[in-house]
Amino acid sequence: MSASSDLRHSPFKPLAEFLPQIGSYSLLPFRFIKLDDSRYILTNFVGEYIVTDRENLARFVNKDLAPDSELYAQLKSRHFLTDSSHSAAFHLLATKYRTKQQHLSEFTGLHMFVPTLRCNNSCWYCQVSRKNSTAEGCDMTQAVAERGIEFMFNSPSTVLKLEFQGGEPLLRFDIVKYIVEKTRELCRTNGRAVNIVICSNLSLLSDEILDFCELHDLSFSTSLDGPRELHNVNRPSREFDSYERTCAGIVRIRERLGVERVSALMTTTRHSLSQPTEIVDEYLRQGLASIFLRPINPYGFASSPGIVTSYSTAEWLEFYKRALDYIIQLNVKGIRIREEYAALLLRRMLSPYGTGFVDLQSPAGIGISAVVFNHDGNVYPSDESRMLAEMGDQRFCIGNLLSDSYRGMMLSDTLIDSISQTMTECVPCCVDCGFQPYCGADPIRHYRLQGDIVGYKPTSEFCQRHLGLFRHIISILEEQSTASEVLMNWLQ
Amino acid sequence: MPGFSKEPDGSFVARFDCRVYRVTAVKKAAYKYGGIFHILIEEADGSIVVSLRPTSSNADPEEAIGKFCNEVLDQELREQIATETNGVRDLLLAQAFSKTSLVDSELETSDYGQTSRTSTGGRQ
Repeated sequence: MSASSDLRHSPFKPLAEFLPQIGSYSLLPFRFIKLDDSRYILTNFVGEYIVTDRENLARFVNKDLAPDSELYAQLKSRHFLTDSSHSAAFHLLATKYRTKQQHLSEFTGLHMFVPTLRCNNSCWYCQVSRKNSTAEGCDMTQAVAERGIEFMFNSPSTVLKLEFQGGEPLLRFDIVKYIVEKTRELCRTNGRAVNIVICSNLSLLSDEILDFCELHDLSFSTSLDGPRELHNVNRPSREFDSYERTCAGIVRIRERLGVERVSALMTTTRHSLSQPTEIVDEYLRQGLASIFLRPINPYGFASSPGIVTSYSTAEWLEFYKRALDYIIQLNVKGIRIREEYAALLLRRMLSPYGTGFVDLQSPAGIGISAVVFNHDGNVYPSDESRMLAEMGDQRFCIGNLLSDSYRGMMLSDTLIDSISQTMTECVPCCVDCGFQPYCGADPIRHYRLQGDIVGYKPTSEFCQRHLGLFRHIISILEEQSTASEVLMNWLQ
Repeated sequence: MPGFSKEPDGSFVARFDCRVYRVTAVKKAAYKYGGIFHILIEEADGSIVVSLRPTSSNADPEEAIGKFCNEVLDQELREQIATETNGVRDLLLAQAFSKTSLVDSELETSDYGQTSRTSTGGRQ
């Protein structure tokens, strides 16, 4: 007996009988944006996405989509449409949305201390406007450090992250030690977890410092801009040996504390643009399994005329894509190295959970995700607002540890007014952008570059950069199966 | 298909039929193109009339005008989606946060000094 005759005598109605009629579905909230000249990216309420062409998009919105089409099944399974009266899809979407926003209830996790603004390097793009290593009046006192610790333990966050920024924090290792010991002690009595990172050029590492770091489980983050010549041009020291000192420090930490206890990031200068593969190779040479490719930030010395504009967003994107593609090819060959910003964007796009990265939050992560305690006790809601203050603009200072209360600072008009303007769900352009679920607001950067907290998105370099990044990553996921597998592995 | 014409002074005029396009869609597209055109929107004889004068950063105004018209089409589609889904979106947000306490009543009423002493063991 043939299959068709089986069906003829089947007691069940044909499958088509159970399909909804054309046009009998309802749309669920979603956004869309062009991927390229022929395709569109559709993102649903929680950021799940589908790529299709304009014709199918219009057909879907106009209720002309055939219920037995593949696109219909995809749109239904990913909650772009519903064709039944059951509320399961509705409840599932609400739960997913709540999960994405869960990190908000943790409130501030990252607390940055600036033990000193002094530094023994002379990076020409220094974004924090460092002082030279013998300068006076730019070190943190123990009284300020103590108030900073108290502020930190006012946060409801169950997992704190304590980061030492500079200047060069190891120039005031005594203050670092004080803060670490006191924090560890309080964590034991308060039942909190804390991850501690020192951001350092590693040139001042000593056995005493490494002993302490081993005892207290500290990690290091450093800057490595690329091969020797590039690094030393970008980050000169008096002896012109910052590359040698940083690399020696990386080796010492790896040998003493372990491979995972040191990570590095790079800052892109005009000199970097022609060396994407050389920079990645340098990271491999130093045994680093991750790299963070960053554009220059327009603060401090990097805001000097000509430096910020020394390359365009398009040039940086081209550099980034070449580096990322090279990193992916290395992974395909079995050499493991991860680009951290792509990994972060992928988590925002594909993970059911939110991320606490300050620059990609809605509302903005300032204060909510991070605070900075400057050496003088001034408190800022992000490192960039501290950088702006060092340029003479105290617009985002929310108070001083020695004179203001936690409540007064965290509920200050300065902070609340800024945050309230940064919900990308209702900001012009962002409100309709297909990448809204992945992106965020960077009020400090927009204020710095456009003189406005919200910013004008059609000419915003932040916006152009992220549109380029999201489009590139989705193109890889859609078109290159092997490369896509590499990116998916970065989610783990 | 909306028509557009080039004026003697180098600016362009595009007309959109009010029966087909919402003013909001045209306004949103205009906002997005504000970096490369100076834009004026008026209504006349059942049409939304958009005057676009290229800024100095606009290298290819005629190409950009075509893209502007397509952008209005996309914005109109977005308006259509919003009309149908805004109610559901509001319900989803209400449902998502209905069982969540975003405000910790203890923190809401506590003071820095008080909380510090409680949580850190006290400042002398």
